[in-house]
Amino acid sequence: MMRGTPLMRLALAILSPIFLLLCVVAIHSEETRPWMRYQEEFKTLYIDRAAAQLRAAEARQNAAEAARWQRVIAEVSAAPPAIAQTYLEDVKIADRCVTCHQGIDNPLFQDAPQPFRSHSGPLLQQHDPSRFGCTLCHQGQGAATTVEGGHGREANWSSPLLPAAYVQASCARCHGAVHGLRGADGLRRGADLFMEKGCYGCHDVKGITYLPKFGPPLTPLRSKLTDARSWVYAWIKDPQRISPDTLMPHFELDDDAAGKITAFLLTLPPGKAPDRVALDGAAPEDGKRLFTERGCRGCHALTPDEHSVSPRVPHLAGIGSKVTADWLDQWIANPKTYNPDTAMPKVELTPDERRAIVAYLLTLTRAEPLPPAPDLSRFNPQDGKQLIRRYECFGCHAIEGFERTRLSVPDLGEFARKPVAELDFGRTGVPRTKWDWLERKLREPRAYESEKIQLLMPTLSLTADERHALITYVLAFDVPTLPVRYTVPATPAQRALREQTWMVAHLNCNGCHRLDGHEPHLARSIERKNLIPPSLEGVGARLQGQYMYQFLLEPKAVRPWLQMRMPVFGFTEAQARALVEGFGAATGVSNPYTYVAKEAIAQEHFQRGVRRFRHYKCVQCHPTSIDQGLPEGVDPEDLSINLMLAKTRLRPEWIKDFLARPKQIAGPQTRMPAVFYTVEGTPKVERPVDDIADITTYMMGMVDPPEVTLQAEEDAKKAAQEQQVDWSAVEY
Amino acid sequence: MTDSRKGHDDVPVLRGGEVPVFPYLVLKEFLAALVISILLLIWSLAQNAPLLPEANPGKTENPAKAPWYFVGLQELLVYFDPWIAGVGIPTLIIAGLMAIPYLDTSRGATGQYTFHARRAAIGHFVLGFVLWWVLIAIGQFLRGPNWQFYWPWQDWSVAKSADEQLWSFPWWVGLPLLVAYFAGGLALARRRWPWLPAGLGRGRYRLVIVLTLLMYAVPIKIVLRLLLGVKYVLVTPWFNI
Amino acid sequence: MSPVQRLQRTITTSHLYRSIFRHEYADTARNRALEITSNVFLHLHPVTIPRHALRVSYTFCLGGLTFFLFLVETLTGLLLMFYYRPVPEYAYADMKTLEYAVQFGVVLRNLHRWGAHLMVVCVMLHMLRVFLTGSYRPPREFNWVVGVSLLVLTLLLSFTGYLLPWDQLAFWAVTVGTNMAAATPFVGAEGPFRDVLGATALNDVRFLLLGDMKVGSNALLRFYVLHCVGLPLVAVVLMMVHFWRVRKDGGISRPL
Repeated sequence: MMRGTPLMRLALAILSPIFLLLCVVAIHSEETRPWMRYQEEFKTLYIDRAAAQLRAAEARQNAAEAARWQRVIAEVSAAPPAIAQTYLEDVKIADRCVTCHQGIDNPLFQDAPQPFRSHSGPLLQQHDPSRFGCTLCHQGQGAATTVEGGHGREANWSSPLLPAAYVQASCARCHGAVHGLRGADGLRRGADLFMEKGCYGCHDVKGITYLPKFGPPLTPLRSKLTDARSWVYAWIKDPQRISPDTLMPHFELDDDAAGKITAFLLTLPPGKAPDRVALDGAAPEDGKRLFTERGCRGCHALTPDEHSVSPRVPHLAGIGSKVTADWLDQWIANPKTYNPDTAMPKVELTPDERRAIVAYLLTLTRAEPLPPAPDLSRFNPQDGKQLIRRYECFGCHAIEGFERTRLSVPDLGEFARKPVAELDFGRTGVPRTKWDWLERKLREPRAYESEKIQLLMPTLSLTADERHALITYVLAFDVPTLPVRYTVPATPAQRALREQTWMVAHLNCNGCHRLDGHEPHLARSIERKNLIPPSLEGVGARLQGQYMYQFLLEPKAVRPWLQMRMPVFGFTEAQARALVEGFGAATGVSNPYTYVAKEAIAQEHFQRGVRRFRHYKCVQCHPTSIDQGLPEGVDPEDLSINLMLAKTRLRPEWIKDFLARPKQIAGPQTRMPAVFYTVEGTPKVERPVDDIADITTYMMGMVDPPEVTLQAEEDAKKAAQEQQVDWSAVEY
Repeated sequence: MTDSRKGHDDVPVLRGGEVPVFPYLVLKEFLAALVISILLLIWSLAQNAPLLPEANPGKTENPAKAPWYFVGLQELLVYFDPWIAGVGIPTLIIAGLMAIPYLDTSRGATGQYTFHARRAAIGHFVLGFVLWWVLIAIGQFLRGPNWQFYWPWQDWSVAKSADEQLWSFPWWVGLPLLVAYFAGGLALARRRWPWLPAGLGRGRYRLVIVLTLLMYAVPIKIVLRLLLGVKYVLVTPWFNI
Repeated sequence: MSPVQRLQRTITTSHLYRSIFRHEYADTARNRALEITSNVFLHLHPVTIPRHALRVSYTFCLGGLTFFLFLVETLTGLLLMFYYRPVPEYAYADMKTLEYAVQFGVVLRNLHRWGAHLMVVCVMLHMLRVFLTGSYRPPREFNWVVGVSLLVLTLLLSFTGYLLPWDQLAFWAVTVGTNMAAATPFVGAEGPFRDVLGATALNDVRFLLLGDMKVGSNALLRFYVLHCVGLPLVAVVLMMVHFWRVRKDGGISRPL
């Protein structure tokens, strides 16, 4: 039976087992894949937890549930290891993450160790995994079934798993809006920060090119400053020394560079000089008082130890040494003549009042004078112009000669879409991911510098949270093309909310108005609470849209006891509309514009409303006159808004809410008493719902003050009564 | 019916000096297949085939290398124009290989390994063979980004300058040089080895010499390029060599 | 007789066994001959061969190994075809699926890839061996020509298969390779004398290879069909001729 030579048989006897052994090795390595291990572990955990549930069900003697858990245990025990996959047909993505992350949608695994823990938050209910998979949001390599492979940490996979801090960047892949999007707070914060910190001055981002330059224009500098040479030089060299909270970054320029730039800026034509102002007779003490009374304190800080109210608003310490009186007078009178893009509004002041304020501000001089500038004649202004072109000052400041110059700083969208291999990590040891690159860059912008490549981005002061938010924002620009089915375009309300958020931050509404839980800055300098402008919390639900719209465009006094008036910001109609709809969107009101038809004012409810109105003595605090004059003999502190204005001003839904729960709706500082319900919600009167509804109906149809209405009603009744019996016609 | 005569390796020898194919040859073939299977299986279990990122027409690989068996031709692109390195030389190699049996008229030393009996043939062939593999080795291991020369220990991220001063022979130097190379080669070989044209016959002799000269023209041109910086040996308005 | 021998006899004399093998199992000279002549695969061999033809150190079985590797490639390639779609939208994703989700996907792909490399090496070594032993001399001249054709086919099979993973390596390697084709004289859009026949990028030999001006979905499909069907068919035909001629020329060459 033995064939072949002994040598051949020997060779066969040695080689065959080796071959078979190799086959066994191959099969074994296939049967011991890492994911199988995870599935076994999951099985054990699942059976444990299901058994606990089973015991609890038996203890409660719930037979049906106990049977259910029995079935679960039986199924799970019998299930063989298998690769689990979600296949998204239209984007051709196969996500096999669930092979190891088997507990991702299982409520039993909320506290389990990874990789079995269930998904946190309500996101999984909103984004069904069978339609969205995993990698659309978390990135990584869905096709893989190993840990390193699945998390995308392979040389041939370019998008590793997004760290949890940045995962909201993926929201932008489908959602057109970030404002008003639940669960995207990190991304929204990043978007807001990007605007607030002025990053858009240098970094182009698609969709923000409509904004004007937010720094002061540099062309007419010479008409503004008393000593332009020293001031500009000192400022460019170290802005934080003059104004610690300024948005102007520190560019770390050396003396020569600062000198050249100053030399160039001083060659720019200053334009028409402001009119001379005569300050004799202007009392700085009056000015100081007016400065607070008229609300300037809401935006401007005055003393060197105060922090700026907002980085976009100039700190006025030392203003007296900086600007000329003539300029200051012209500026306060009409800011847009000097800078058409300024955020400073026009405040209602008489010329005398204005001059008093100017006189006061001129007393705010610097404690120590600025160091004098060096002799600038040795600098060539053209060198300064080159430096301006290099550092792109024109990104934030309007400078003559650079009106049309385009920024050359990388567009953040292009950066986000760059593959990691193209990023320059310099000689730092930063891990090779986009987010690590960004983290280092935001902490130390010039970290990736080398001899050949000089970087110009200035240092910013950001907290770790702010950095995370900004990184999320930048990463969100890497948006792959997804089928239309996945996209959720921004609703008009969300777009309005975005613009409103920006405008509120930019124009510093919080300086005077309570907003988003923050007290107005004015509250620090004005004691009497009713002398502070009204809170804007929930204003979208409170005010009728068209009223707010008209008010923003042309403010009319509503609270006569206030000494300060809403200044004129010069909104365009589009901006006013955005504010109205944005405030509405912020409070969940889909249509802020209100219309109450005359037919909706049912006569009997109206009449009952008048009587209840009188019963509850609303006029004790609320005037209801047509001419809106203050009633005599009443302390303004005790007054409230004229209710005749309610029908054009307030939304009826809000009136009802407010009457029911004043402290919740308007905040704990409101002086409106709880008339109809206690603070806890128990009724205090017989028919609170009807009373509230009828009073609201009355207010929505109020034409005359209540006495007049009631009087007219009395007369009519009397007339009706008198008319009832015509004794002359009665036959006895 | 067993046989009595056994060879020195235990294989029974039959009448006529032959051995049975079954089982001896069949077993040997089976063993050879087993050996190569084991080799292949070990290699396949130990090392994974490479997989780079997905094809991206917008991102060029640098260096973009042909498969290893063509990378020798890609290396030749340094020294020759594409139509020579990519088309001319491969065609000549294939045609030359196919022509070998018809050009080799000697009949001695068939069916055995020998060197002395076929010095010239084996020498030229092996040299060509080695040259092929040397080109592959250079192209595969010693060429980095932009096809610059990198020793294995050098870092590919450090760019190398690509400027070198090259010059070409003017046509009135190049053309006579080429003619002299081939004509001279033919004449010299006839002088040195007079039995060659006699044994091969006139046609075959010319073909053999020309093909051999063509083969050696490749390393000669390489040397000219590396040592003297010669870009083209012949420049014409239609093609360059 | 031992139990093993009894079992052996039962099996080898059974109806089933005899209907398949048609000859007896015993180690007789007659059976040895019948093993060869009654087997469609083995009857390529003669029943007996000269002694020296058995020496491994003569041929190193290189030709046979090349053919064996061709069979390995065919089998592994066939299995891979179950999981691979030659379309750019799916090609790379299928490679990932093979690596991560298909049972034995990794080892299958590796066998195919390294087997291909080994086959190229074996075929070149086989050519070297044939030259060194002068085995192209008459009557084997034409078989040498067929062999060189098979060498070219092996390289082309490897080249067409190289594109299929659709990764950067594949894409750019084939781009480089086909760019060289564009340099062909007369029929290449970038070769000398291109105007003689009017070769442009839309009708030159490169376009013929790629089905397009660039390496794209047409090239992938084309290369796939060539790799799996076209070239293997031609290779099989040529191999038939090659093996037939070896036999007809008297088997492995021997000293005259």
